Amino acid sequence: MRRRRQVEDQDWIDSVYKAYLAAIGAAVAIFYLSPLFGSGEATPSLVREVMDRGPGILGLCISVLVLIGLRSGARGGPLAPEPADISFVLLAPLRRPTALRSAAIRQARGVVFTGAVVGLVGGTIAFRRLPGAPWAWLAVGIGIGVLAALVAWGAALVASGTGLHMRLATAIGVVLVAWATYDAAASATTSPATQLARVGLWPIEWSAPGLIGIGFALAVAVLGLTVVGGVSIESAQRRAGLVGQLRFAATIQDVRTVMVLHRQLAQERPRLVPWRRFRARGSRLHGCWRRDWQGLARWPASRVARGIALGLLTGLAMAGAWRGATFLILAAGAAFFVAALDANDGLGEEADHPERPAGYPVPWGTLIVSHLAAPAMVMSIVGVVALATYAAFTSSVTAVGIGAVSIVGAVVVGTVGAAAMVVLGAPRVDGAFALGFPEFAALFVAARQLFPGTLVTAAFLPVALAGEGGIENGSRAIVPTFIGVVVVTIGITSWLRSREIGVS
Amino acid sequence: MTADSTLGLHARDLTKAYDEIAALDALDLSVHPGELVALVGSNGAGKSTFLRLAAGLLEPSAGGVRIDGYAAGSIEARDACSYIGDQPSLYGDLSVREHIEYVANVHGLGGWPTYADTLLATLSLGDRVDDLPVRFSRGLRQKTSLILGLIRPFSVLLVDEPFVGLDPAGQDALTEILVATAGGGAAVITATHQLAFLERTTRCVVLDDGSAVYDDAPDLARIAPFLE
Repeated sequence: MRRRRQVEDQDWIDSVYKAYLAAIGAAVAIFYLSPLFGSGEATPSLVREVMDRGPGILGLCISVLVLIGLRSGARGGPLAPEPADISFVLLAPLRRPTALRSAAIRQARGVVFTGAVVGLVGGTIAFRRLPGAPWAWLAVGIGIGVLAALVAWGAALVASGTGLHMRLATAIGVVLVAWATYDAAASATTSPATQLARVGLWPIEWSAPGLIGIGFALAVAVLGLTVVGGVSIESAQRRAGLVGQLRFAATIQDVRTVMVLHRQLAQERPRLVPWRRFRARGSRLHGCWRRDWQGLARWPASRVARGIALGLLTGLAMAGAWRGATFLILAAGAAFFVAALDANDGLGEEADHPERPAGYPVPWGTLIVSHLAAPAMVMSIVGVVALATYAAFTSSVTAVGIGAVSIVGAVVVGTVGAAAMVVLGAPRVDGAFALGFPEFAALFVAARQLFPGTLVTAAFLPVALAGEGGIENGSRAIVPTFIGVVVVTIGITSWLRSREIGVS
Repeated sequence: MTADSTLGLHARDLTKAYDEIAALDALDLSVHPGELVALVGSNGAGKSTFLRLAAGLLEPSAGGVRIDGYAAGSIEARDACSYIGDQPSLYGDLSVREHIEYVANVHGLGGWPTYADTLLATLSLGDRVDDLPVRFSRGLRQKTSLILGLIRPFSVLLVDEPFVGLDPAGQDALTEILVATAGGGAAVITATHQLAFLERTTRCVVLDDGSAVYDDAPDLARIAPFLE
């Protein structure tokens, strides 16, 4: 009884805390996203365009969520039981569907909550410009958010519960995405995802296909709960250990470990046969360059695709910033920095296995710097993708020039910034900060974690300034920004070069 | 002090304490070129701690270790000393051959492919050179780790529990490699619970609670009481 009451109390406090964080997140999202959609009541032509194209685009987003859910399910997601639950509950002579269904329902609460918050943000942005009652937009926004989250979660449960093979799961997801893409291109409403998205326009125009979409989403979620008993114990066991470690690594903000564990969770393994084999030769430090390319040649297709997608996202965000949505340089900086973390994998492997570099007759700092060349090359390729995407959305040659210089800066500072993050590892607040106020320790940790990403974002400043104050403004910012980037890069590289391998 | 007079491994007053507990207590130990020393003792006796201190992976609380006259952990000592840990530490993104190539390159070693092929054949890993060791069984990962420790140049070899996970043929092959390595002039120190291996060594050091309680020829009858 005492235990149950304690758990109930914890759940209540936990829920209040989550609601508090969600409220802050939603307020921030509304504040920053609203300007992107303009102000004032929408013109009739804009309303017509929203009605024509809105469901298609929203349906495409929902279908992509379903694809992600199906792939996650094929890898054993979304459930991640505790290791003890596997040993003492799932291996016990109990009905697995019953045990797993209660875990799934607990997880569904979080899914519904997240969907509702995202939907609330969407509804709030919509009622500021579009005709219709505010309460209707909020209700529809929350409803669509919840149903979209449920259908993706349900798809994952169906895939894991039925043991769907990854290829089949991907194929089904791709068909759904292609179907929704056709709807988006033809302004049609044929796919289930687009039918669900139609609900989003109910405050303006009632449409019956929306009911089919709702039915589809609920049916997928219910089907997921029905087949949940078929979840593979092997996958559950693998996920249980990894998710526990992942949560711990996320708690201590160890970015590299989070990244490595996430790859393991996604079963993103190096290719057995590399894309290209390298012949054996090389000098001492040339060896690092070769070693890094050997590792890069084993990147799975999914990681290559992620690199290209992050390049595309960077370019799109830059184009958005160029058109006046200044805050999008945050997205550009974040996407580019994540790509740089992936590109620094060779150095990451050294940092993950400190016993190896500790035995090499090369100073750790020298080894780190030797590992920077290959990631810089990879980031140049990501930069070219970003620049091409950005150029496709900007007509001026000067704009492309400003973007190109910004990307060169981002490549350089992103590579060394990500290397610094890999080398730093998890933040330690047991030093001088432990004696001070906890708030300072928290500030220190936040600054330390955000610093490298902020530097990459700063490299995109000329694009944002040009978007805000005209091309002259952006052109004037190029030289000081580039000098700043070079100075910071030299500083970080010198710091990296002075590193010594840690012994205890 | 010239390097020649201090070849091999020399630990003086070596102490490692964790809080109030001494894992190693003022240990004095020298191992000269050509010696094959077995380091034995019950669990927690301080064997692994000693090897990790000598490899420069741990910092001593007092005293120190010198490898060929250089402080453990210095670049020169790292150049002279090869450490093979009890847990294989391998990169996740390289094949066996790529591992070997990288380690050889970092050590500025030329002409390694022939020796690599010999080691691979001896440890029956020749047909797995293009596979990723991160996907290997414990025994195969241990073999990969041994090859990486042996391929590079060294004058002092530190090996921690190398027989764990190896099949009998692998254990025999490794024993011959260690004997040949010492015969070639290297100072070899092997922490092990494998008593059969002691017969092939030139010397045995028994650690108990961080102190050397036996340091002499490998005589099982005299050593056995310390291991009970």
